[in-house]
Amino acid sequence: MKDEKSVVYVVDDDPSVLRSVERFLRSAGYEVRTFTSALDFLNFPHQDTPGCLVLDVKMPDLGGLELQEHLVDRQIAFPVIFITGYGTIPMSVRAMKAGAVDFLQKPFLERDLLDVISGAIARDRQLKREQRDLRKLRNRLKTLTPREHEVFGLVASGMLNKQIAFELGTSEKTIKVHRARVMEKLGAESLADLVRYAEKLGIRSKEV
Amino acid sequence: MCRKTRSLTLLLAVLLLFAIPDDPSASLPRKRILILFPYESNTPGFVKFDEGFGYMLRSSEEYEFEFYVEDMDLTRFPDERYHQRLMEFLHEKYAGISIDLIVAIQLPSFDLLLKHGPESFHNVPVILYSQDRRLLGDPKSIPGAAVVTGQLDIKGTLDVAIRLHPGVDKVFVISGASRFDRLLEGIAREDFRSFENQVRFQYLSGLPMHELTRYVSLLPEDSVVFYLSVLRDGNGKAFKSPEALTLISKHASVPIYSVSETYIDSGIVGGRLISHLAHGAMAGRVALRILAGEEPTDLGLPEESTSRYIFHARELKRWGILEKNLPPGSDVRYRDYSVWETHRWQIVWVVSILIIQTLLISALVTSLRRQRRTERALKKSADEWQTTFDSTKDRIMLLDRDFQILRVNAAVASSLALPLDQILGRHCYSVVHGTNTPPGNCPCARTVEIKGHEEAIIYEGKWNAWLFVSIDPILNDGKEITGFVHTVKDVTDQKRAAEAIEASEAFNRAVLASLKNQVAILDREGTVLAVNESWRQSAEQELSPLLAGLSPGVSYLEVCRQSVHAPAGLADEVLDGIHSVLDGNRETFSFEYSCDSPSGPRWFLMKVMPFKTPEGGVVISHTDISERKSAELEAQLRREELTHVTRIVTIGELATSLAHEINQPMTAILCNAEAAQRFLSRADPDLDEVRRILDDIIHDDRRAGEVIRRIRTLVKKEIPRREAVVINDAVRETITLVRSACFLEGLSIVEELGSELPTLQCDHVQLQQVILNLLLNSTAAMRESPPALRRVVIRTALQDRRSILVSVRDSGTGIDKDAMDRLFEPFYTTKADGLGMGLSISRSIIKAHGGTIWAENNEGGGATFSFTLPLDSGEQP
Repeated sequence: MKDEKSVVYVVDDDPSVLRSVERFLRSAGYEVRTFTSALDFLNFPHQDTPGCLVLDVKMPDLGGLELQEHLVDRQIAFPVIFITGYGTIPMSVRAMKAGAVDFLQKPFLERDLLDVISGAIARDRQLKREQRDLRKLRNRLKTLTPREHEVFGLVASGMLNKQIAFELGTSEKTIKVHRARVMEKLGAESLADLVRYAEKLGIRSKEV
Repeated sequence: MCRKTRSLTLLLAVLLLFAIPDDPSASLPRKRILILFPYESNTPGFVKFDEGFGYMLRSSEEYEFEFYVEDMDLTRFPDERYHQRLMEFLHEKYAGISIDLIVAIQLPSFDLLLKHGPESFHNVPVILYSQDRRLLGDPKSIPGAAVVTGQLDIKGTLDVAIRLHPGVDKVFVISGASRFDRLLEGIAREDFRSFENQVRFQYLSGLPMHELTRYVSLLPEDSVVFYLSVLRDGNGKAFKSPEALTLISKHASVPIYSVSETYIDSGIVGGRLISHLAHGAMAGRVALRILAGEEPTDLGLPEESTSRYIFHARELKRWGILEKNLPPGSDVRYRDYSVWETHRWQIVWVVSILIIQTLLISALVTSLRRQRRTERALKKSADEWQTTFDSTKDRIMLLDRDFQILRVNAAVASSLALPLDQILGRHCYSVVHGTNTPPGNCPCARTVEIKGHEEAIIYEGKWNAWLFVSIDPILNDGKEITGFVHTVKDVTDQKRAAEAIEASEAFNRAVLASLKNQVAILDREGTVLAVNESWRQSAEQELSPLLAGLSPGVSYLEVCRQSVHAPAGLADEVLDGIHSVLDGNRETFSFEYSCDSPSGPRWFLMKVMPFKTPEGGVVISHTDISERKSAELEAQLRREELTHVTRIVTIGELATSLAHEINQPMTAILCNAEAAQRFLSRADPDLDEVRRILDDIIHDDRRAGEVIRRIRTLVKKEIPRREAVVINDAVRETITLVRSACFLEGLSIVEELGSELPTLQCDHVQLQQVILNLLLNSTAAMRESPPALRRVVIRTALQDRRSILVSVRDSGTGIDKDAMDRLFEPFYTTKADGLGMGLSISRSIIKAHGGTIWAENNEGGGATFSFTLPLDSGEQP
């Protein structure tokens, strides 16, 4: 957890619970941000730092479940961990469906909370990394010429250079040059890399 | 003979009178007019209208008139079928008569004519009369009629009322529930608008009459009543408006004003009253024009203000209004002129004649009286003895020595029912007893033996009477008996009375002996006069120290004083009680006490009542109420048990939310403790941080403890006791218990707590139980309400300075009528999982504290439960 900075956001309307959870997480080495209402949290400018959100289910004004729905709407992707004094099954089902990581009953075992949080942060980090990679890849894709784009699609669909040349009505040699260009621009080392990128970017041969 | 001639002359004169040539009008065309009154035509306003109308018509010398009047009684009989039949009836009634003009009084009569009027009336011109133009509503609704209206001077009347009562700041406006009443009220409301900066208006509209009369009897001093009309009250009862006014006026605590002359004799002070007489004349003028051939509809709408200041003298006097304050030109009616004022000369004449006659008569009487007085003195002297002898009720006979009757008084003659000649000279025994010798028990015979006075009481079957016979011998100088004075006195009544007293005493003794209660009777010194059998038996069984063995002559007060076995203070209380009744300071004294007896603990109800004899004294009765008492105690215990169980059930309902109340601090404690451990295991622990953590842990632990303490107080089984309770604290503490529950239900509690409320003396736990119950009921009632409305308002306030009012108001579903009646019954519930005991227990708790609890629906939906607790209730819970 120390390899990269991470933040735990805690929202609970009960100030003494909020303070104790903050201390506990801080003692476990996390950077913690606390909020006494869901609205405060929504108004807080979010960074891309990996993290997770610990939410009390029942709060005045905006409850934890409603906040979760707002986050989904605004595409703010944080793993959400619910803590509640009186969980009901419908409540937890609703939370899990909306993508909650876990649902903890108060008073919870501190080990459980830490495990859930570290799992959630790891997941978020992974997610954020993948998002970053994809963003990078998309930027690279934009540098391809239309012809290179076509060649990339056909290569990824498994066609041989000869077949591609026939398809595009040009020489195999030209295709080879294009292909080398595509690999260079996308930073691919091998054909396997190309195929994987195409998959990530959602490019299929039919588009050609 | 002379007399006969005179009568004949008189008869001739009368005949001549009738023989006067025909009235010239007989040859004039005859016009028939039908007047339709909505209710009785003898109401004062209608009478006046009729008078004015008739007067105007007769003043024209072109026609001869025949009037037909129908009292249709529409307000009391609003039924449509009646209206239809009534018109059918009128159709038949007037079949042979050609009506020339119909006058419909007020809109209802006209409406009826319009709706159900028979064909025979269709082509008859109609005049519609109404007191006020505005009462007719839309003029288009009055086709084909000439409309005669006045204008009710509502503003003028209110204006004069305000001027006559300068301090007045409130006007109570009375109107009924009928269509007409409401119509009139609408007009009045508009007119009153311009007065709104001077006085405040309160409308007593459409109330049931009994409520209205009660209401008007309680009106504040600085107010007046403005009476509009009541043709129907809130209960649907029909009235004639003047009648209703009379009822109201009888009770009214402030003066009443109105706008119509109709009401002048029904209890109003007066006002700017419309004159029905003038209206009648107006209608008369219109009628003449129509009869002269003008079309009713072409006449336009005559409308005149005929209002004048009219007042009632008696009412002015009743409310102390001086006539000099009335507006100039006011007409004061019904002045009471004294007989002297009206008939002064007649009185002087009559009195003078009487005086002269009296003088003459008294002169005559005086001379006569003188003459008679002399005669009477002589006669009196002669009759005196005989009168005395005859008038005594005792029967006196003078006998000679052989018992022959010499003389008897009137009483003897009448008792024997014989003429004197059959009495005198005969032997007494033959006359009285019908025997030839004196009877065996004859006291006369014994008198002979003893030569002295003898007497006896004898029953005489002949008269069914008890006789007291006394014989006095008449002795000559030689002490020889020459005769007897034989006196008989009827003592039957005395004898019977004595027997009755004897019987009554025996009866009383029997009554006393039959009483199961222990009864003792004391004289005014506290000395025992009598005790009954039951008391004696109880004394033997030593049931109570206050039921000691008593015998007449013993001082009961002393017995009480020395009752060493009695519980402390008992004797003193009893003594005080007996003394207070003896001294007349108290009508009765009664109290219940318990004591130990050989057969176990016993309860007695002791009562001290005045002994209602001229000598005074008291009656003391003891009633063994041990059985009732133990049943009561048993019931009390059960009630407490039930109260406790209900409380636990209630707490059970709150379990989820209470768990949350405890969970919160528990979570905080756990996290804090864990954090502290971790901080301390660091190389350079931040001790300040750890100290803050420990402070928080203590605080959170207290918080959890407080919740548990509160629950425990409610769950603990304790004997109810009185203690000083600050109502707002009790309310706030209870709110903390349900706060989480409310939060879960998504509703809020609004506190409207009164400030500086006095402390109550009551059982804290039970009070909280009641509040808790009401709060939970409210939250349950709002489960279906839209989230924005889920709000409970709890209010505390001082009421009448004598009690505290607590009310819980919700905006839920409210209480339906059936439930309202049964809410407080045990086992009545509208909740699927309810026990049905909450409100029943709440009521018994509040009742035990001397308060009341009730429920009502709010105007805008939802219900309010309220209870009051007196600030000084003597009763124990």
